[in-house]
Amino acid sequence: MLQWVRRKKFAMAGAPSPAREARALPRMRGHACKLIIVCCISVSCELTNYVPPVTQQMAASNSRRQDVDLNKLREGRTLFVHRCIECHTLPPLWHYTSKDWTEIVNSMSHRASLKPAERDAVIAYILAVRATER
Amino acid sequence: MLSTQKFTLPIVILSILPAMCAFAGVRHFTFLYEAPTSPPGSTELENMVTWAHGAGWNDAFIREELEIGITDRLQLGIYPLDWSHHSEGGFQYNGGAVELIYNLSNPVVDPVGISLYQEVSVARRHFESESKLIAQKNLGRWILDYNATLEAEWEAQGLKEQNGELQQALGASYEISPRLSVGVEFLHEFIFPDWRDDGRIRNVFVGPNVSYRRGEWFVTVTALAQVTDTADEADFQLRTIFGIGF
Repeated sequence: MLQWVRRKKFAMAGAPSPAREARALPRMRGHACKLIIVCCISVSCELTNYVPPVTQQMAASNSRRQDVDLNKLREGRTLFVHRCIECHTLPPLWHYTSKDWTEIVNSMSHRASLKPAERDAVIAYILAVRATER
Repeated sequence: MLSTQKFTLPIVILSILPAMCAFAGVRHFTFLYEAPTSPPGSTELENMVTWAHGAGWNDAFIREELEIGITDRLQLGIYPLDWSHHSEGGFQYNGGAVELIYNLSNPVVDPVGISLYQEVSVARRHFESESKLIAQKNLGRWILDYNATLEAEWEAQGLKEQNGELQQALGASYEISPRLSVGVEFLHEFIFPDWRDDGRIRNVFVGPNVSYRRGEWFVTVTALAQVTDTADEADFQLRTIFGIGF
């Protein structure tokens, strides 16, 4: 009870006058709006998860590799979105070159418990997406 | 010669261990659980230390968890050692626990990533059940997380005392680099002594977190301050989780 009284007294002593509060309110609203706009812009720049579904076109782009088919690409996509997010968010696929992606997936496959065939499927999916984006 | 033989076994073990390593996953939050489950066959040891500070008292809680990925969607957690240290009571062994997490949907490709969590902990004169609904959405470099928890505990001789807790937790984490994330965690909990609404205690905690990972290990730290003014609850909590795959 005493604690509550002390807090109430303190709150009253520090309370701004109504006129001062009226002047401060529009200024605070302005700052809040600017902050919200800045936050929205920065958030929207980082909101993209680019993991497109597998298409026939992607499989065709890998036609030179006979071991890559639609099923393998689908498996690669599933593994990519399940295994990689256990440690980090997914970087946009255009952030790295095809050569870089192969090295990145190879280096992280062990950490993500990817078997060699699964690792190949993830690489095949990423390369197929990049190939069809050209 | 003897010294060479003495070191041969540890060297062989240390060189084989990294080859057997499989990382179960990084925790971006310490008071919230995330929807993705560990890959099948992965094993990880997580050490969690929580320091709680209240008016004139300090408590520490230590938990060891062995996290095992069973399938792509099912994860098992075993807590063999739950310890605590109370400024007025010294060390106390709080028993052990087992948890299961089942993942229903993915936070990247599905509208919301959902997982169900169930933990049962048993100690002398203590039984506790904790159920969670975990919802997560990954948006680019952002991870948005929500946990709804229902906790029920029975304690004392004959497990006659009953308490309940409802908790909602929100978290947001931003990945600055693949190794470093920063974020915020928010906890809103209702404690019901004897499951009675008239004795309900409400607590709100909020604070920042930081997570760093490298190779097969990670460390995540959260500092929470109590926003409400509940007397017997901690004013400040600091939780650290250190995880290592092996």
